[in-house]
Amino acid sequence: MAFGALPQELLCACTKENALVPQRAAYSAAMNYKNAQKPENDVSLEGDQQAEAFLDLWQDNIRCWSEERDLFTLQSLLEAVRRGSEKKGPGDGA
Amino acid sequence: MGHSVIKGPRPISLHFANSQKIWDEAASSGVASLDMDVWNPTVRKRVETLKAQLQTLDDIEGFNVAVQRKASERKDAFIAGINTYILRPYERPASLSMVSKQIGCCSLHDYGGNGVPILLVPSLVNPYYILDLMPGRSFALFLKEQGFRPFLLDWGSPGDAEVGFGLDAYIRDRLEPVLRHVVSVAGKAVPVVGYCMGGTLCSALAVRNQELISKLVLLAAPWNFDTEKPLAGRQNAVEMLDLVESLPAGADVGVDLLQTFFTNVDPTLSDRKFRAYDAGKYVGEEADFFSAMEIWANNGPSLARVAAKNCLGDWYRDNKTHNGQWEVAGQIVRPQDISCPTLVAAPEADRLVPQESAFAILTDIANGDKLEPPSGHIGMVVGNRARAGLWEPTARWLKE
Repeated sequence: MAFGALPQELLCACTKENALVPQRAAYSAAMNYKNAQKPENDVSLEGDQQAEAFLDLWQDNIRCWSEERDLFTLQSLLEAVRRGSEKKGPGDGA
Repeated sequence: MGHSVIKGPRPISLHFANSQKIWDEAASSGVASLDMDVWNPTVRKRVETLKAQLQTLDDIEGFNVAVQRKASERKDAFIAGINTYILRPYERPASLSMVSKQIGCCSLHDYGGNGVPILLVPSLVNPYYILDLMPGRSFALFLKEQGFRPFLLDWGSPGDAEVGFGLDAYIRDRLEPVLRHVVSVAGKAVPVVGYCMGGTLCSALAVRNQELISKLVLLAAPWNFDTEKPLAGRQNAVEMLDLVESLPAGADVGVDLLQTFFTNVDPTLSDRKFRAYDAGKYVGEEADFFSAMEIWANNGPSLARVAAKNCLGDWYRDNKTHNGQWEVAGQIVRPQDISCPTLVAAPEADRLVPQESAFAILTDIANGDKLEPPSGHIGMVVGNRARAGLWEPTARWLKE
């Protein structure tokens, strides 16, 4: 992973007044770091192309089924909602 | 007070879980899954093609290792895409409108000028400004250029005055006074445009206020909730209804719950979108558009609890609209009673509201036209093809 996800609490503290200046600096720094992580010679190994094709196929398969039915159980849905609401911040409802 | 904005898809835990689940399962399944009965008919031909390609490989175990490595890279790319998006500064340009009327939590934005007043009604469950998203992607400003004076309704988040509001109260006590205000400015009946569930509400508005509406435009507005191709999240609607009824007294239905409902329409969308973002697909105006859309989708108002129950129970579960049972303030909403010319626009690739659902209302409207924009539900109003596919034909129809 290039860099870790920002916690939602920090995001909630992001307002028009305080966001843009430090955000621009952070964005530049992050992009520089990210670009530095890219390998100069990305050697493709045997099977890589087929692996990419397989993964695209896998995801498209889920997308196609989801057109016909909801994939996730209510239990997983409830858990996700609970986790999301536990992280509720001051920006919610704005 | 600053306006707080949460960036990133919500609930973020659900989107992370979806991405992890997709790629973990792919990595653990590998080549063996190609012979399993798990493939949708739409992709089966590609499965056979891939199987043929794999037969030419010297080392099939190397393929499985590559799948695991690439799956891990995709998980990382999704997270990196979210990070990059979050850190990219974006602020929506100020709207060129002024609030001309406030009723409870609702604000009416007046775009001014000497044009023909027209009322624009967005959905209750997302921010109103999808109809005025940003320069070049504003249906409201386009209509102003075309000689109209748009009045755009911001439903707002329910406040003390809206506790206990169902859909009928929103129509009777918010939408109808707003319509009367626009009519008073115009001095005559005005055209009304409703988008998504805002359109469904406008159908009732038109039935109850025939003398005040000159023309009605319904954009991707659901009417039949029992179509062959299901509406967004329909199969979860009953469980969602139970969940809403179990919320603490007075609690409204927040954006996390609403977004969970819509995420299940395509649980792969978020992963695909943010990996594309990580790959640099979005630059310049496209990146601004990406940010504007994400912030719009993930910072909506909450929905009043009774209104949510009406949507999930009366509409999704019982299909009262299409069955002739939907009642607003004691009056059945019958499309036969819509007397003004009506245009129903339903995009070809709409995954939230199938065309069949939106066009169903036309069966019973005497003076109806249809339009099929070549887009999806949201792309229809703000996408790259919105101008040619929706805005221009709608403006022409309104001027006829």
